[in-house]
Amino acid sequence: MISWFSDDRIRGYLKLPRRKLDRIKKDLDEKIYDQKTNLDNRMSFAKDFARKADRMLKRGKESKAKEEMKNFELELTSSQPVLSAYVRSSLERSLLDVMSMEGFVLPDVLDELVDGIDYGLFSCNPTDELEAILSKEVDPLRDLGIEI
Amino acid sequence: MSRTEYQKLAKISKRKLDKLEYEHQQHLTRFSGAMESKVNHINELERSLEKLRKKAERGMQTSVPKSLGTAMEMRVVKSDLLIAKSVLTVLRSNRFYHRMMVILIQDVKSGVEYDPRRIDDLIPAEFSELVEGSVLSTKMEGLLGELKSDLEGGA
Repeated sequence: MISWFSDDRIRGYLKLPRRKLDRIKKDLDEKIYDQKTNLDNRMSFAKDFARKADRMLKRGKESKAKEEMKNFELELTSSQPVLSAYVRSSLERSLLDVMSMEGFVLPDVLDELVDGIDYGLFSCNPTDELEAILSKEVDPLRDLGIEI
Repeated sequence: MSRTEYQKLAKISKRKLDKLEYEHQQHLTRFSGAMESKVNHINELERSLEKLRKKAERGMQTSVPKSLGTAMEMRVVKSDLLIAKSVLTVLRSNRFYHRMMVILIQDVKSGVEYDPRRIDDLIPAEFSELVEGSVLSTKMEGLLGELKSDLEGGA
């Protein structure tokens, strides 16, 4: 069974009337807009700090550059939960679109036919696993092997 | 999709089978169209990601901090790409289901005997690839590690 499709709330979408589904879609659209705006803001701040660090480095002010990079890291770390929330909402919104299509069947119909189908991010638990997968990306400095 | 399902189909009248086949055919067309549109979206995201990767590559030559800013942008685009690929797998499974139903109904109408091996044969190559490859291709693990490899490889 696939995690997202095991969720009663998600399965319940199939029984909802179109009007209620439209309402849920609208609410999700608003949420995604807010999350994306928040994410863009943090990204913009992070890029500003990166630019400042670059400028400081070129001027030979290494300590100041380090400080700016610390600020960059802070923005990066703080953007992680927002990114996770954005991914979760976007997945749900996209799934709602697919589930609204005439002829949609829950993928478990195929489970007995093909073992171990992987539905990408839908295969992981919407909260814990998704969060864990996304949170591995918090430290680009370490992952890129870069030291200022 | 078991023998029982096949036997159920075998008991349905020809007229009802025709109607059922038509409905599955319509759904098949609908999901094929949605898949095509999603694949185009994925292509666009991959192009954006490639542009950012090149920008980060160039940045690495002159300014490491600046390329980190680009890495952050890449992270969001890659997330969108993972979302789109995940949705594609659901669309693909639905398309496959309707395609298989059309084939099964046509088989019943033609008097083809039920054979589980034949059902296995219906699983297209793309679906097998999905089963084998999608865990690796869709998980976020090592995203920036991948970026690092990309940058090292491209530099």
